[in-house]
Amino acid sequence: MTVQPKFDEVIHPSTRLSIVALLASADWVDFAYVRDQLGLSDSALSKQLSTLGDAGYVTQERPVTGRLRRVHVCLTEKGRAAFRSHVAALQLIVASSESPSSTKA
Amino acid sequence: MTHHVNHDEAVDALEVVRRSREAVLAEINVPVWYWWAVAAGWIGIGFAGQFGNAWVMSGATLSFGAAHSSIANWVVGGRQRTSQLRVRRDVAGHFTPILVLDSLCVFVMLTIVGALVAHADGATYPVLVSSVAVAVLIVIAGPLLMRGVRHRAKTRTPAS
Repeated sequence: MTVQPKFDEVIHPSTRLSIVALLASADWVDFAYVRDQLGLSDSALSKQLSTLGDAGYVTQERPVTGRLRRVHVCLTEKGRAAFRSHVAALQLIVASSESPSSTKA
Repeated sequence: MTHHVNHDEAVDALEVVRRSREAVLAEINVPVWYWWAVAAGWIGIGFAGQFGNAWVMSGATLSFGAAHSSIANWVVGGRQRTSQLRVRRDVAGHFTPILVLDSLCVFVMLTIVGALVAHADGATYPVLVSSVAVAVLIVIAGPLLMRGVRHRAKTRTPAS
Protein backbone atom coordinates (compact mmCIF):
# COMPACT_ATOMS: atom_id res chain seq x y z
CA MET A 1 0.00 0.00 0.00
CA THR A 2 1.54 3.32 -1.08
CA VAL A 3 1.36 6.29 1.26
CA GLN A 4 0.58 9.66 -0.27
CA PRO A 5 3.04 12.27 1.06
CA LYS A 6 1.13 15.04 2.78
CA PHE A 7 2.68 17.60 5.07
CA ASP A 8 0.64 17.98 8.25
CA GLU A 9 0.83 21.28 10.12
CA VAL A 10 -0.84 19.84 13.20
CA ILE A 11 1.66 17.00 13.58
CA HIS A 12 4.85 18.75 12.49
CA PRO A 13 5.80 20.81 15.60
CA SER A 14 8.55 18.86 17.35
CA THR A 15 6.67 18.03 20.55
CA ARG A 16 3.55 16.85 18.76
CA LEU A 17 5.65 14.91 16.27
CA SER A 18 7.36 13.12 19.17
CA ILE A 19 4.00 12.32 20.75
CA VAL A 20 2.48 10.98 17.55
CA ALA A 21 5.63 9.00 16.67
CA LEU A 22 5.56 7.44 20.13
CA LEU A 23 1.90 6.53 19.78
CA ALA A 24 2.32 5.23 16.24
CA SER A 25 4.27 2.17 17.42
CA ALA A 26 1.91 1.32 20.24
CA ASP A 27 -1.72 0.30 20.70
CA TRP A 28 -1.85 2.68 23.64
CA VAL A 29 0.62 4.55 25.82
CA ASP A 30 0.10 5.66 29.39
CA PHE A 31 -0.16 9.43 29.81
CA ALA A 32 2.62 9.38 32.43
CA TYR A 33 4.95 7.49 30.09
CA VAL A 34 4.53 10.07 27.32
CA ARG A 35 5.01 12.89 29.82
CA ASP A 36 8.20 11.39 31.25
CA GLN A 37 9.58 10.36 27.88
CA LEU A 38 9.24 13.89 26.50
CA GLY A 39 10.03 15.70 29.74
CA LEU A 40 6.78 17.67 29.70
CA SER A 41 4.54 18.85 32.50
CA ASP A 42 1.04 17.41 32.81
CA SER A 43 -0.52 20.65 31.59
CA ALA A 44 1.86 21.00 28.63
CA LEU A 45 1.15 17.46 27.51
CA SER A 46 -2.59 17.90 28.01
CA LYS A 47 -2.49 20.99 25.80
CA GLN A 48 -0.69 19.14 23.02
CA LEU A 49 -3.02 16.16 23.30
CA SER A 50 -5.97 18.50 23.18
CA THR A 51 -4.73 19.97 19.90
CA LEU A 52 -4.18 16.50 18.47
CA GLY A 53 -7.56 15.40 19.81
CA ASP A 54 -9.31 18.35 18.18
CA ALA A 55 -7.83 17.22 14.86
CA GLY A 56 -9.19 13.73 15.51
CA TYR A 57 -5.70 12.24 15.74
CA VAL A 58 -5.66 10.94 19.31
CA THR A 59 -8.09 9.70 21.89
CA GLN A 60 -7.73 9.33 25.62
CA GLU A 61 -9.23 6.44 27.54
CA ARG A 62 -9.50 5.78 31.23
CA PRO A 63 -9.25 2.00 31.74
CA VAL A 64 -10.70 0.44 34.84
CA THR A 65 -7.57 -0.68 36.67
CA GLY A 66 -8.39 0.38 40.19
CA ARG A 67 -5.76 3.12 40.03
CA LEU A 68 -6.65 6.77 39.87
CA ARG A 69 -5.27 9.11 37.20
CA ARG A 70 -4.52 6.30 34.77
CA VAL A 71 -5.05 7.52 31.22
CA HIS A 72 -4.25 5.64 28.04
CA VAL A 73 -3.48 7.73 24.99
CA CYS A 74 -4.15 6.15 21.59
CA LEU A 75 -3.57 7.23 18.02
CA THR A 76 -6.71 7.03 15.89
CA GLU A 77 -6.73 5.55 12.40
CA LYS A 78 -7.03 9.08 11.04
CA GLY A 79 -4.00 10.12 13.11
CA ARG A 80 -2.03 7.08 11.98
CA ALA A 81 -2.75 7.81 8.33
CA ALA A 82 -1.83 11.48 8.78
CA PHE A 83 1.41 10.51 10.51
CA ARG A 84 2.39 8.11 7.74
CA SER A 85 1.66 10.75 5.11
CA HIS A 86 3.62 13.35 7.08
CA VAL A 87 6.66 11.08 7.42
CA ALA A 88 6.43 10.33 3.70
CA ALA A 89 6.38 14.09 3.01
CA LEU A 90 9.47 14.60 5.18
CA GLN A 91 11.24 11.75 3.41
CA LEU A 92 10.29 13.30 0.09
CA ILE A 93 11.79 16.65 1.13
CA VAL A 94 15.02 14.94 2.18
CA ALA A 95 15.16 12.82 -0.97
CA SER A 96 14.41 15.70 -3.31
CA SER A 97 17.09 17.92 -1.77
CA GLU A 98 19.66 15.12 -1.76
CA SER A 99 19.15 13.92 -5.32
CA PRO A 100 21.04 16.76 -7.12
CA SER A 101 24.17 16.24 -5.01
CA SER A 102 24.01 12.47 -5.40
CA THR A 103 23.73 12.97 -9.16
CA LYS A 104 26.87 15.12 -9.10
CA ALA A 105 28.72 12.49 -7.08
CA MET B 1 3.45 20.98 0.01
CA THR B 2 6.83 21.47 1.69
CA HIS B 3 5.50 24.35 3.83
CA HIS B 4 8.91 26.02 3.93
CA VAL B 5 10.53 23.06 5.61
CA ASN B 6 14.07 22.73 4.37
CA HIS B 7 16.25 19.66 4.14
CA ASP B 8 17.84 20.03 7.58
CA GLU B 9 14.52 20.57 9.30
CA ALA B 10 13.09 17.50 7.59
CA VAL B 11 16.12 15.44 8.64
CA ASP B 12 15.73 16.66 12.22
CA ALA B 13 12.03 15.79 12.18
CA LEU B 14 12.75 12.29 10.89
CA GLU B 15 15.33 11.91 13.65
CA VAL B 16 12.64 12.81 16.20
CA VAL B 17 10.44 10.13 14.68
CA ARG B 18 13.26 7.57 14.80
CA ARG B 19 14.06 8.30 18.46
CA SER B 20 10.42 8.05 19.51
CA ARG B 21 10.05 4.79 17.66
CA GLU B 22 13.18 3.34 19.25
CA ALA B 23 11.88 4.28 22.70
CA VAL B 24 8.84 2.09 22.05
CA LEU B 25 10.90 -0.71 20.49
CA ALA B 26 13.05 -0.78 23.63
CA GLU B 27 9.90 -1.79 25.51
CA ILE B 28 9.51 -5.02 23.53
CA ASN B 29 10.31 -7.69 26.04
CA VAL B 30 9.00 -10.64 27.99
CA PRO B 31 9.07 -9.83 31.72
CA VAL B 32 12.17 -11.24 33.40
CA TRP B 33 10.01 -12.94 36.00
CA TYR B 34 8.54 -15.11 33.21
CA TRP B 35 11.91 -16.73 32.49
CA TRP B 36 12.56 -17.27 36.20
CA ALA B 37 9.10 -18.80 36.62
CA VAL B 38 9.65 -21.14 33.67
CA ALA B 39 13.07 -22.10 35.05
CA ALA B 40 11.56 -22.81 38.48
CA GLY B 41 8.83 -24.90 36.86
CA TRP B 42 11.46 -26.74 34.87
CA ILE B 43 13.34 -27.72 38.01
CA GLY B 44 10.05 -28.73 39.63
CA ILE B 45 9.21 -31.03 36.75
CA GLY B 46 12.77 -32.39 36.80
CA PHE B 47 12.43 -33.07 40.53
CA ALA B 48 9.09 -34.82 39.97
CA GLY B 49 10.53 -36.79 37.07
CA GLN B 50 13.51 -37.88 39.10
CA PHE B 51 11.89 -38.79 42.39
CA GLY B 52 8.17 -39.16 41.70
CA ASN B 53 6.15 -41.85 39.98
CA ALA B 54 4.32 -41.46 36.66
CA TRP B 55 1.34 -39.79 38.37
CA VAL B 56 3.45 -37.19 40.09
CA MET B 57 5.33 -36.50 36.89
CA SER B 58 2.11 -36.18 34.89
CA GLY B 59 0.57 -33.93 37.53
CA ALA B 60 3.62 -31.67 37.58
CA THR B 61 3.68 -31.42 33.81
CA LEU B 62 -0.04 -30.67 33.57
CA SER B 63 0.20 -28.07 36.33
CA PHE B 64 3.10 -26.40 34.57
CA GLY B 65 1.22 -26.43 31.25
CA ALA B 66 -1.93 -25.01 32.82
CA ALA B 67 -0.05 -22.27 34.65
CA HIS B 68 1.90 -21.41 31.53
CA SER B 69 -1.12 -21.24 29.26
CA SER B 70 -2.92 -18.96 31.72
CA ILE B 71 -0.22 -16.31 31.45
CA ALA B 72 1.25 -17.02 28.01
CA ASN B 73 -1.44 -15.15 26.12
CA TRP B 74 -0.43 -11.74 27.44
CA VAL B 75 3.20 -12.38 28.35
CA VAL B 76 4.98 -14.19 25.53
CA GLY B 77 4.07 -11.68 22.82
CA GLY B 78 6.58 -9.27 24.32
CA ARG B 79 4.19 -6.38 23.71
CA GLN B 80 3.42 -5.39 27.25
CA ARG B 81 6.48 -5.59 29.46
CA THR B 82 5.04 -2.97 31.75
CA SER B 83 1.64 -1.40 32.31
CA GLN B 84 2.81 1.81 30.65
CA LEU B 85 2.28 0.87 27.03
CA ARG B 86 1.38 -1.93 24.69
CA VAL B 87 3.48 -2.23 21.55
CA ARG B 88 1.58 -2.81 18.32
CA ARG B 89 1.56 -6.40 17.14
CA ASP B 90 2.98 -5.52 13.73
CA VAL B 91 5.83 -3.62 15.41
CA ALA B 92 6.70 -6.29 17.99
CA GLY B 93 6.48 -8.99 15.33
CA HIS B 94 3.74 -11.54 14.75
CA PHE B 95 6.26 -14.33 15.19
CA THR B 96 7.41 -13.46 18.73
CA PRO B 97 4.95 -15.73 20.63
CA ILE B 98 5.76 -18.58 18.26
CA LEU B 99 9.46 -17.97 18.77
CA VAL B 100 9.11 -18.08 22.57
CA LEU B 101 6.97 -21.23 22.48
CA ASP B 102 9.33 -22.86 19.99
CA SER B 103 12.22 -22.08 22.31
CA LEU B 104 10.38 -23.99 25.06
CA CYS B 105 10.17 -26.99 22.72
CA VAL B 106 13.91 -26.73 22.14
CA PHE B 107 14.44 -26.61 25.93
CA VAL B 108 12.36 -29.79 26.28
CA MET B 109 14.54 -31.54 23.70
CA LEU B 110 17.70 -30.31 25.43
CA THR B 111 16.40 -31.59 28.77
CA ILE B 112 15.74 -35.06 27.33
CA VAL B 113 19.11 -35.21 25.55
CA GLY B 114 20.86 -33.85 28.65
CA ALA B 115 19.22 -36.48 30.86
CA LEU B 116 20.24 -39.27 28.47
CA VAL B 117 23.82 -38.02 28.36
CA ALA B 118 23.94 -37.62 32.15
CA HIS B 119 22.50 -41.11 32.57
CA ALA B 120 25.08 -42.57 30.17
CA ASP B 121 27.75 -40.72 32.11
CA GLY B 122 26.63 -42.44 35.29
CA ALA B 123 25.06 -39.44 37.02
CA THR B 124 23.07 -40.32 40.13
CA TYR B 125 20.17 -37.96 39.29
CA PRO B 126 20.35 -37.48 35.51
CA VAL B 127 16.86 -35.95 35.06
CA LEU B 128 17.34 -33.45 37.85
CA VAL B 129 20.84 -32.53 36.68
CA SER B 130 19.60 -31.98 33.14
CA SER B 131 16.58 -29.94 34.32
CA VAL B 132 18.71 -27.65 36.46
CA ALA B 133 21.20 -27.15 33.61
CA VAL B 134 18.41 -26.26 31.17
CA ALA B 135 16.75 -24.02 33.78
CA VAL B 136 19.99 -22.01 33.98
CA LEU B 137 20.03 -21.87 30.19
CA ILE B 138 16.42 -20.59 30.16
CA VAL B 139 17.26 -17.72 32.50
CA ILE B 140 20.25 -16.75 30.37
CA ALA B 141 18.92 -17.43 26.87
CA GLY B 142 15.41 -16.02 27.36
CA PRO B 143 16.45 -12.36 27.67
CA LEU B 144 18.99 -12.84 24.87
CA LEU B 145 16.22 -14.17 22.65
CA MET B 146 14.16 -11.05 23.30
CA ARG B 147 17.15 -8.84 22.61
CA GLY B 148 17.30 -10.49 19.20
CA VAL B 149 13.58 -9.79 18.69
CA ARG B 150 14.12 -6.09 19.51
CA HIS B 151 17.08 -5.91 17.16
CA ARG B 152 15.03 -7.49 14.40
CA ALA B 153 12.18 -5.05 15.01
CA LYS B 154 14.59 -2.11 14.70
CA THR B 155 16.07 -3.30 11.44
CA ARG B 156 12.85 -4.62 9.94
CA THR B 157 10.31 -1.88 10.44
CA PRO B 158 10.12 1.42 8.59
CA ALA B 159 10.17 4.83 10.26
CA SER B 160 6.43 5.19 9.94
